[in-house]
Amino acid sequence: MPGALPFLKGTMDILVLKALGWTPMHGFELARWLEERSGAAFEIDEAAVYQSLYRLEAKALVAAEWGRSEKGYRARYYRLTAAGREHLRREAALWRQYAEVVASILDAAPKKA
Amino acid sequence: MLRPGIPRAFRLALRRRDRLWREVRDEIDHHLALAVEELVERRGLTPEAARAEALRRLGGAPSVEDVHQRLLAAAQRREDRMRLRERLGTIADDLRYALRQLRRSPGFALAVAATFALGIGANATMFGVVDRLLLRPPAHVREPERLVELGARWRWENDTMTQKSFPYVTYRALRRGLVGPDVEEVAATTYSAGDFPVGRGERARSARGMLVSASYFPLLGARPALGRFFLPDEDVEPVGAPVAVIGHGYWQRAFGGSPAALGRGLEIGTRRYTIVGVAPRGFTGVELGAVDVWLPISSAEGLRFGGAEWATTRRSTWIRVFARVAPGVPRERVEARATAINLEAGEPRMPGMGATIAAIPLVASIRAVTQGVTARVAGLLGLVSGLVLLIACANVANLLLARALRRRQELAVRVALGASRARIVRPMLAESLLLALLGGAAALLIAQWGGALLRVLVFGDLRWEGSPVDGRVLAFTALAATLTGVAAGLIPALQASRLPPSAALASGAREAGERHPRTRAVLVAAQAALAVVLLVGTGLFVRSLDNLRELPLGMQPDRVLLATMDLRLLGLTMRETDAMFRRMEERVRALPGAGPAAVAVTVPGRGSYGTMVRVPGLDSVPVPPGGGPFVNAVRPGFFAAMGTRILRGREFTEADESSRARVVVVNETMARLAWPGQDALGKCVRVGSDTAPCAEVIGVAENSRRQDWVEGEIFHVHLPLSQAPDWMAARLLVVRPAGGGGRYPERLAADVRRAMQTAAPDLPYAEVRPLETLYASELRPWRLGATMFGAFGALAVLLAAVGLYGVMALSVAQRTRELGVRIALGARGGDVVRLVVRQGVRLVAGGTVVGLAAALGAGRWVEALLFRVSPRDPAVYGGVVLLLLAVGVAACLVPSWRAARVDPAVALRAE
Repeated sequence: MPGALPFLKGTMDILVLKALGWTPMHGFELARWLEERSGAAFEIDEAAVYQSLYRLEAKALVAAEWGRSEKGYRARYYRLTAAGREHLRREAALWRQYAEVVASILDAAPKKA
Repeated sequence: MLRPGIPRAFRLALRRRDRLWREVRDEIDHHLALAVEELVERRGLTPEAARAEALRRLGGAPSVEDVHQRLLAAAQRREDRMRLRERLGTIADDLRYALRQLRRSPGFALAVAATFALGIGANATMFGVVDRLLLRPPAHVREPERLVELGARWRWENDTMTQKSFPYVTYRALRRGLVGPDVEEVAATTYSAGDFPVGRGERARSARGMLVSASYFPLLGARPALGRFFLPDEDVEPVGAPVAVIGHGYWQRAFGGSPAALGRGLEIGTRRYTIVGVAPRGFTGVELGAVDVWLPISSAEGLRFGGAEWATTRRSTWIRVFARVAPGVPRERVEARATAINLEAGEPRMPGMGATIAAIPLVASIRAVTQGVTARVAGLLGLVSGLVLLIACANVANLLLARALRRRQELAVRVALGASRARIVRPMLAESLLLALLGGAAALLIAQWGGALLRVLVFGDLRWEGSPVDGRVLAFTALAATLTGVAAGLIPALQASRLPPSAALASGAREAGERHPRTRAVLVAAQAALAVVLLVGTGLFVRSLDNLRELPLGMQPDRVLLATMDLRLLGLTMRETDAMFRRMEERVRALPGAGPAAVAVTVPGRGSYGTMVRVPGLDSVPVPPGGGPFVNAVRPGFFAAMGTRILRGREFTEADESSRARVVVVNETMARLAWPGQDALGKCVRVGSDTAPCAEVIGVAENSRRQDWVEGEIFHVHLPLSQAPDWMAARLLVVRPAGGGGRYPERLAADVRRAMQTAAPDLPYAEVRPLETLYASELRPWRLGATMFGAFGALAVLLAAVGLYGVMALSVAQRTRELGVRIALGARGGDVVRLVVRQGVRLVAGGTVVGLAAALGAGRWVEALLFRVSPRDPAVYGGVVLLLLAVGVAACLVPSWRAARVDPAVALRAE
């Protein structure tokens, strides 16, 4: 995919949490959701989505359950836990702050001597 | 055959892995199916191209199996973490439940924790002692298993004797001949640490000191905490460099742990030693107790044995020799080589006695030299403290059972609702474990105090540095607490979980099943049995100690102070030394509170002098079992001060001192054997040689001792001090507090020391202590046995009484209805009391019988450790039985009183 942005390490977890903050999803839905939201700007390694899900599940930030998808497949649905929601809130604030600081530094006009 | 649980556990693990694998595959296959579907629909790809594209998006894997593998690992990690979290959660739940239960009944919690604390505390205290005496390798010694002590070994009749002291020349020959490929290093020390007088005049102090060769510290492989150890050229004959290494504890006490201690001087004897190093903390070398100062052997003028020819004489054997054997070299090779060297070096006695040199492993050697019987008693007490812990466990198990009984309806409901056995057992175990850990914490306090007390009471002569509770005691306590917590909790927890819910729910809480009372009764009887064993042990050791104390000693060591000051260090002549001691004697006699005092050459326990005594008219005198003749020279007042009675004639007077007429006081045994059937007074003896002038016997003294508390009769002759031969050069002072009794001689000690110290300026340290301390290590095994068996026995009885009380109280509560019926039918208070007491006493009696049998069986293990007491002593056994029955009755009194006051109306209505 030409012009795809490199994916910063550590971003995946927070995006996954954000996605699940909307509604419980299975892995494929989640991958699609991320692609659409980013306007396909990210080249997403879909296996990494699953790894992120497993990681978050181990930390009890998301919980998983087997269910049936609308097409009748057996699918593993993930949802945000209370701890996950709290974690998302904190991390999102941190990210925003971080992005602002970096942006403000990059935007600063060079001073005239 | 494997237990069914084990293959099941394997199957479970396999099944878990299979399930995970299937789940990952399902999830990814589902993803792939959706992705292919979408790509075909939206982008119009062929199914094959769509599949390739979907795989590319899944991390660019060549096949779906690769994706599976990659995710399986991640899923596995997830499962592991989640399982761990779940387990921790369960444990936290169990602990929370246990805490809630404990908070609900704080009295119960306190009783259980206190029981644990006493049981574990007894063990932690004993472990501290046993660890130092028997278990712990010497601190800061590198590879102690390669260190040996050399000893000359020979057979004497049917015994093998090992003498571990050598003349200095032998050490020198051994070092020169042994060090090589087989032996890395050889070092020497004085026989044991001694009291060194440090400083002069008012500021004079005593320190535990040891003379060592320069190779001593390198041999042990220790590293200094500060400064350095001795250099080879500092320990050279004839006179080495005046340098000193000090112990860590002494450094802290005397110099506040300041690095400025290096370079400071220590005035010891005639020389001033510069401190060049500090030994590491806890280092005691080949000694068990702490050492304050080490000096090079060749430097320590006046502190050595062997006089001016110390380096060449063979007459003085005062050196211990240690060697470090090279890795893999058998000890026999070193022994053979050392034996040859010893013969070559010309040891005159060796060939005649067929002696060989033995290499004794250092650790065994340290323990044997310093302890002997004490180590065996300490080992025994270690086992005994284990019994105390068993009793404590039984007691706690009993209390927990009683409680499980009270909670049985709650438990039954939980079982009925489908709680698994583990769900029932775990919180109960958690509860007992929690209480055991609480008890363990309190046990550390007990070990701290108990250990300190034990050091003072029983090991007063061994210097122990550091807190009684150290890392090892801490670890032991933690382990003991965990094990006892589990052990005590397991029985009641398993019992409770085995309960058929229908039965428990159906019957009321009161009419409990038969199983619990029986278990509880057995536990109480077991406690009584163990208590009997401990009490019998106590009785046997106390009687041994009593027998020792009642031995006629011919002196009263507990009522006499022994004062010593080494004036030889000052280089005084004999005449000046005597004058100085006379002045001190005068000053001490003038002290308020001082009774008779006298200068003497030696006292029993301080070393003895052998001599020759010829009785005119007799070719030979039969020698008594303790040997002799031994000779002492004493000033007037000596016998009065020692508490030795004069049976006939009189004691020495100042007139004897100043007269040239030769007189002696002989002991009873000598009077009897030399002049059987005659009066010894006025008889002539020649002391020293056949040609010595006649000395007249002016008195017969009762038999006292030569060296040990327990020894055979001896021939004993006393001379006036002024008539002592030159080779009896030592002097000391004995003093008895005024007022006949003289019960507490320690009170006078400080005054005596000051009076001696200030008799002249710049005197070395005066050591003043009760004469009894000379025998402390000899009596220690029995003292230790009596003290600790006593403490453990008392504890055991207390615990057993509490246990019995608990059982009886519960039993009365359970039988309220039955008792009510009995009273309603006309039973009187007395009948009910008797009924309850009889039930309790029957329990105790059963336990006592078992305990007596066990004690009789175990008796032969302690037989060798007792003194003139049979391990089947009827008085001890009888006393124990009476005591236990009395305790049994006492423990039943309150419950039986409660039983007698049951109101039949209330009791019958309650159901």
